[in-house]
Amino acid sequence: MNKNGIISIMPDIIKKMMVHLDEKSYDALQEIRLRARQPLILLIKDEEYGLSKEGICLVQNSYMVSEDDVLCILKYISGFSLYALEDEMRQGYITIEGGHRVGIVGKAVIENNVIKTLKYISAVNIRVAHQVLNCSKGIMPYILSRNKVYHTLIVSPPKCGKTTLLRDIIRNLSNGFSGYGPYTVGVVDERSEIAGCYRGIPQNDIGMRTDVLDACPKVEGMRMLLRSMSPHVIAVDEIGKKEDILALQEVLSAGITIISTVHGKDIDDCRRKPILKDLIENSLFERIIILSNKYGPCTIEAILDGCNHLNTLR
Amino acid sequence: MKLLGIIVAFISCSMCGFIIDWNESKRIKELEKFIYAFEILKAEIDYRLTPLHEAAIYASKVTIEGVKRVFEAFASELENKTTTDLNKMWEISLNTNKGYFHLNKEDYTLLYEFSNTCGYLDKNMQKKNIDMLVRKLQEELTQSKHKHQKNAKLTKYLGVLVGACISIFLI
Repeated sequence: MNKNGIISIMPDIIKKMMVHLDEKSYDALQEIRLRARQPLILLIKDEEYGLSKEGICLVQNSYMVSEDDVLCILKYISGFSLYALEDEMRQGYITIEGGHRVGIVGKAVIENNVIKTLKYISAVNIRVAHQVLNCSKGIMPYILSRNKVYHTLIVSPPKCGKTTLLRDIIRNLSNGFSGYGPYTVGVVDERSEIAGCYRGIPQNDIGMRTDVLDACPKVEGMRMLLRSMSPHVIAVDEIGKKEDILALQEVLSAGITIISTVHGKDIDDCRRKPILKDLIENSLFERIIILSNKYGPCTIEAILDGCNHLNTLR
Repeated sequence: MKLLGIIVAFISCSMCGFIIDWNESKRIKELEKFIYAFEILKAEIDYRLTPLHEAAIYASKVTIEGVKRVFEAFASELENKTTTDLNKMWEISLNTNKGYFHLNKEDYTLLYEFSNTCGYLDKNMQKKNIDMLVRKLQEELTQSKHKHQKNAKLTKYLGVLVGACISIFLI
């Protein structure tokens, strides 16, 4: 894990405390929550801890975060250039070096019924990016055939590892897997989550033949990739809007494979959503992978055939 | 010995006139380069929403020694995050490179103003801040050019004249 990205945005006082964290804790670190006038909280292996001068401690003994700490983090994240992050501020999160995502909350400034920006930033949540290399190893044989990659939809509730899985699938397709491929992959990374680009450079390993359109809206991005980069496969995260589906159909008609993710518990849950219902019933996707958190993130519940919806998982 | 003294006095006084003139023309060139660098900075921010440290690096690449060093130092200060005070960073960048310039106190006062609202609020704010600074520097430049045109010969000849007067007095 690239911890420099996290340490470099911390105020000096917290930086000094973080020195006491060992490699093991860093590897298991999931979130760092800093709320003004509240104790700093680290989420390690789904358990909450505090942080003090001595290192990891109980939450009640943790360092109390000040308003200045939060402001300092915001300045460091933006490189003293808040103007460059206007869009990200509106969306409420910023991706930093290492692909880590920093969520921010404060008071929303509204203009013409849209969020203009956030002010009085009171808390930040740093979600530590973890790559799980080879987590798609077991799935790859199901989505590859001799001469093509199946159109694949990954269905998963939040925090079950759908983006992690998608990232690893992209990496395997791009580098080649067991004699299949390699394929040129185009990624539309609307929320900078898949590649975790920082200054245009992917911070996560997404393979050597992957082209990333970072922070680009899915619809425009898919069209751009289609015209300009001639990919074999286009990967997008979290489809769900009507326009996304139209763009997907455009990509499919060009003979390009689509790999995408969607929020959902299972196939029935997807069928209940009007937009996804059409996609599934028209067998647009040839493979539907259902994930859960039963045995930790990326637990594969089922791999369905897109036509008959039968589980092909052996 | 007396002759040598007269020659030294004459040359020194004449040189003073030429040096004052040379300093002024250097100052004008430096102001022009600062204006150019700020225009680049503005374009980077306005068109590509480039963060300050990257924009400062771009600006440093297209300017001459001195101005280049100021923007390089500023970019490095921003990158190293030694403080959260942007004014301080800009001041350090300017002060550590003062030796390269022939600018006067008023010029520095204008340049220090840059960091007051730098990085604050949105793109338009940045644009306005740099526009205002460039306008002020332009005014200073126009005045200086005008003054220089008017006084260049006078300064040079005055040096020679004072030198000659001292020489005559010594003879």
